[in-house]
Amino acid sequence: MLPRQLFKAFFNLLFICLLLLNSSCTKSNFYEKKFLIYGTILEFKFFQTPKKIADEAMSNVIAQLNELNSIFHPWQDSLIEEFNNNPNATICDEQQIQMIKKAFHYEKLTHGYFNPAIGALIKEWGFHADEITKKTPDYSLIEKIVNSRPSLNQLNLKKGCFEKINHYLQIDLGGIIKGHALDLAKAEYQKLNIKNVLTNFGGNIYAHGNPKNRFWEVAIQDPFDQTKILAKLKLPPGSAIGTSGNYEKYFINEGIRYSHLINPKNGNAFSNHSSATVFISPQDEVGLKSDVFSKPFYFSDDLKKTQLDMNFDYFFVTDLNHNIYITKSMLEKIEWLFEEGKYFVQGI
Amino acid sequence: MFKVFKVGDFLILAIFSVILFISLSIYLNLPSGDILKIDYQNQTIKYSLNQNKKIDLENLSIEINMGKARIRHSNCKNQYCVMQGWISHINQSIICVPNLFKMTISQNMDAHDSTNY
Repeated sequence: MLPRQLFKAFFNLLFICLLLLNSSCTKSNFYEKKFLIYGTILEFKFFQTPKKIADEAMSNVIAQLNELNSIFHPWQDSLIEEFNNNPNATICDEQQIQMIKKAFHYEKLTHGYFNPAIGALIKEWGFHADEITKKTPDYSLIEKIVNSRPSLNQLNLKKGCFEKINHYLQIDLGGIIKGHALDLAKAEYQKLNIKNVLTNFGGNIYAHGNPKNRFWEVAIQDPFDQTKILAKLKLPPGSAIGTSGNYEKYFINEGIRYSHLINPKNGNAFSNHSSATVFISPQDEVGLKSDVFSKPFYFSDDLKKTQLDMNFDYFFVTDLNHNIYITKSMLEKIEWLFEEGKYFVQGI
Repeated sequence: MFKVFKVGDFLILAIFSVILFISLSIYLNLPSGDILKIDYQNQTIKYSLNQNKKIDLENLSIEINMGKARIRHSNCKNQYCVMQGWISHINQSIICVPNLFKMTISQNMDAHDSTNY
């Protein structure tokens, strides 16, 4: 073989290698990206979606989240922060009014277990901060706030603007915003005609479509060990899952774990449950419901009553003694993966 | 030029190119992990990567920042482990030989698309 031919053969081989590299990069069909938004991971996993369209969807969702952040962040410079700290401030923007009305709808639906008017309680427990530190709250102040029964119902709509009629009312939409973000993402996927993507915002997951020949499959973290899996669940297209737990933002004081989830009924940062997980079948506001519906079961001392009050079947709760309480409907969906003997599963 | 290079040279170049491209393609396709496994002082400790955390050990300081991990400080001489920066993909490791330290990214045992927490 002539040297020139050899040289040509070498570059042909190199060209084939480049083609192979390109095909191996795309053969997985999945395109994943993670972002850090408000100190929480926002994760996308696209299946068979052109990269350009996926990037556009992610960029649009993040832009909307940044806008929400500038309006609703409860302790950084935002319109709600100003409203909370100024007794005479009002909310007049139509979009914000609609968001607050939506939050009030869920406050009623959960019989007050989800309460976006208890910002003052969350602040008093020290959870309006980027870094959580141990704090003993002023219990007399907590009692005063609880006795004032803060509710979004105490916002008076006057001349198209909301004004406070309870001095202790402070708005905190932290319990709804992750779920709302999932619904924004869903709308974005529909707009861009994206068929298959899994979106995880701070643990709340929405399944849009499904990968080929299977459903999206999610692991549920063990509430007592962040490195282990408690169970697995298949998410049909359009469904979502959400968990409220005492292991994400918390501090420990004298052996008791105080979580950022504050019980609106008694102002306490302590619950007998370590986590509550809900599955939401495909429906409107699926993301929002995945965020809100776990809270009543996390706080409730009477799960059966709360189940009937909310007319909701797909949930399970883990308590501090490693008991799992689960409905029959949820049990049919779940695959347990915990070590034998670690948990005791009981029906509700 | 062709007088300098012989048939065998091209063959070796081609083989190494193939190995390089295959390695690159595998590296670029590695999925993100969700567990940081630390082997240090005859102990193995696991941490979730879904958090912000600073871990201070005897001679090193580790940082976990939402899905990725790095060595912030080390008392070793050359600081190679610190210079390696962040790791986030499954099987990526940072080793600090003077401190007999190793940390590796891994995933929970069962295959799944995402984790609810």
